[in-house]
Amino acid sequence: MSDDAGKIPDSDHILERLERIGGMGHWRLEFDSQWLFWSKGVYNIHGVDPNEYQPDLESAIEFYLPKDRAHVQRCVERAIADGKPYTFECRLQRPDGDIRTIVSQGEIEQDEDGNNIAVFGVIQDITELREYETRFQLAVLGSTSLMWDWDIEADYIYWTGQVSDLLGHASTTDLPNNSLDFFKDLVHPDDHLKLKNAFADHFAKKTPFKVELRIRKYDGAYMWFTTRGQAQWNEEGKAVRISGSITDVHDLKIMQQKLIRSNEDLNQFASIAAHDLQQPLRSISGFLCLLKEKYGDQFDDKATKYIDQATSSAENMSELVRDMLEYSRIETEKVCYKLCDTEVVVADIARSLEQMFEKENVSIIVENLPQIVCDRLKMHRVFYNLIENAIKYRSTDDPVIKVTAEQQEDMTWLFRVSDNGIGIKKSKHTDVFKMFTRLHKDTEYEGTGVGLSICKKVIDLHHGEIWIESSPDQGTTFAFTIPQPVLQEV
Amino acid sequence: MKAKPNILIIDDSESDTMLMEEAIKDTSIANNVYIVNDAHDALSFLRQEGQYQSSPRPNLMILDLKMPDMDGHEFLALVKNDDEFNDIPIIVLSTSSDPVDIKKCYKLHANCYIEKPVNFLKFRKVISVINDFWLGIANLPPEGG
Repeated sequence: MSDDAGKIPDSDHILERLERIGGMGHWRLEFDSQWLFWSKGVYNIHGVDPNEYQPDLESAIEFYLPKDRAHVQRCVERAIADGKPYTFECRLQRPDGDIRTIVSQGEIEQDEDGNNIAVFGVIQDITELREYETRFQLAVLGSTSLMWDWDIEADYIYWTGQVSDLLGHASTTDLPNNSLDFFKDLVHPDDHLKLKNAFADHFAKKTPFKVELRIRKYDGAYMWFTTRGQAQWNEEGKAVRISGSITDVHDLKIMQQKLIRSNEDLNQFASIAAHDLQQPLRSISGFLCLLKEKYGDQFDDKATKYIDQATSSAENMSELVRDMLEYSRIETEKVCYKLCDTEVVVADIARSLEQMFEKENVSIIVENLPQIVCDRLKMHRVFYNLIENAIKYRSTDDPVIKVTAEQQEDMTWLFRVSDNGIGIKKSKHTDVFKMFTRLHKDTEYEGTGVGLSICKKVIDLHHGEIWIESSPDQGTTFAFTIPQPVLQEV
Repeated sequence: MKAKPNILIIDDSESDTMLMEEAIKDTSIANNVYIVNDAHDALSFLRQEGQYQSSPRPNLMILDLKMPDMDGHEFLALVKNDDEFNDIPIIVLSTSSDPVDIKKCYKLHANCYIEKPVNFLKFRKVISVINDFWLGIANLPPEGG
C-alpha cells in the first residue's frame, strides 16, 4: 500500500479533473480591479495556452463570434444589474479557427453591504451535443416523419419535426395541448382500440410498438400513418416513457388496399372464369361423346377422328383452366402451417399413383423424410407434381424415382426428387418454373405447363428455393429448401 | 312393387341437365327425374307451390352450387334448416374444386360433395355411382311419419 492510500486528493486536483472530464471551465471577474481569472478548463475550451495569453475583458470578448457578442454582453449586463444568476448559449472561435458552442452560466458575488463585487462563471463546451441534435433535427426534417416522446406519468407528448407538413397544423406549439387524449382525438374512432391494444401489448409483453392509424389532419381529412415506438420501463416494470416516430403512409396504404382489392377481383375472376369455362367444355365433350355413341355407325373413320380430336381438345382446355385456378388459389388461400410428416405425404402420393407406377414399371425409393412445419395441402401439391413429373419424363429402361432429404446447418431442410429420365438442358432450367412453359410437344408428353409454377409458388410462400440439377440423359433432380422454423408473416 | 324413387336435379345449366338426364337414363335403377333451373323453383317444388302443386316429394336432390340469385349454399342453408325437408339427402354436384366451397357445403349439412367431371364418360360414371349408392345401397329415410 502506498502512502496516498485512503487520502482524499486535494481540491485543486479534483477541480482540474472535473473540468477536463466535463469539458468545463470556471472564471471570475472582479469589478473593481477588472481582474479576470480563467481556470485551465477555460483555456482549453478557448484553445489558448496560459503561458501565451493573459485574459482581459476586452480581448476575451473577441473570442465570441461577432454576431453573438451583443447577446453575451446583454446577458451579463442584465445579470449584474439584477444581481441574479444567468445562463446563455453562444459560440466562440479558437485561434485555429475551430468554432465551439458553449453554455455559459454564472452568478454575481456581493459584499456584506450588497454591492456587486464580481461575476463567477462556469462555461461548458457543448459543441458535440449540439451537433448530435442538429443531425437529429435534420434527419427528422428530411424524413416525412414526426418524432414524439410521451412522458406517461406527466401525460405530456413532446413533438419534433414538421408537424405542419404532416398534420397540417402550423407548428407543434399550435397543437391545443400535448396530452395523449388530444392525440387520441386526432385518431379515427375505429382505430382507437387498435392504438390501445398496441400500447398495452408493448407495455406488458414488450412486443414492438407499431400500429397503422388514420389520423385527422387540420383540414379534417383522415390519412393513414404508421407510428412506431419504444418504451422505457422503470425497476418495477412499469412503462414510464415511450418515444417513437409517426410517418405518413397514406399513399402506400391506399396503393396496398387497391392491390388487395385487385388481387381479390383477380381471384374471383379466375374462379368465375374457371366455372364458366368448364360448363361449356363439359357440354362440348359430352355432346360429342353422345354424338359418337348414338350416331357413330353413320360416321366414317375421318369423322370419328375429328370428333375424338375435338373431345381431347376440350379436355385439355379444361385441365388448363383447372390448373390456372389452382395456381391463382395458392396465393389467395391462407397458408396454414402445421407439423407435417413428409414421409406420410409422399407415401400417400405413392399410393394414389400406384397404378401409374405399375403401368410404367417405375420404382420409387423414399429415404427417411423428416417432419417439418409447413402447409400440408400445399406441400402435398409440390411432391405430387414433382413425382408425377418424374414419372412422365422417366427413363425408358429401369426407371427409378428417388425422394430424399437432408438437414442443413441452419436447420433448413433440403429435399430432392430425382429421376434417371430424359433430363433437361441447362439453358431451360429457369424456364420450366414459368407459367405455361412446356419443353415438349403435346404428342410426346401431356401437360399444361402449370405444375412446376405451382411448385415454385408454394416454395416461395414457405420462403424456400427450388432449382434443377440436371443435364440431358443424366436424369433430373428437382431440389428445394424449406427453412425451419418457418417464417410466418404477422 | 315399390314406387320408383324421385330425383330432383337443381341446376341452371341446360346442357348439364340434358347430359345428366342422358346419363341417368342409362343407370341400372329405374327412377323419375325432375329438373328445375333455379333454387327458387326448387323450393316451390318441395313446397308444392305454383306450377309444382302436384310435384312428388323427392327422395334425393342433386344440387349445383353456382346459380344466379340464390346459389346452392343458400339453398342448402334453407332446406337443411327446414324440419320438413332436412331428411332428404342432398348431393352437391358442382364444377368447383375450391376447398372453401366444399367445406362450406358440408358445414351446411350437404350429404355429399362431388366435383362435376368435365369428361363425359367420367361424368356418366359419377351419375351412375350416385344412383347405385344412394338409390341401391343406402337406406333412405322412410316416407311420411
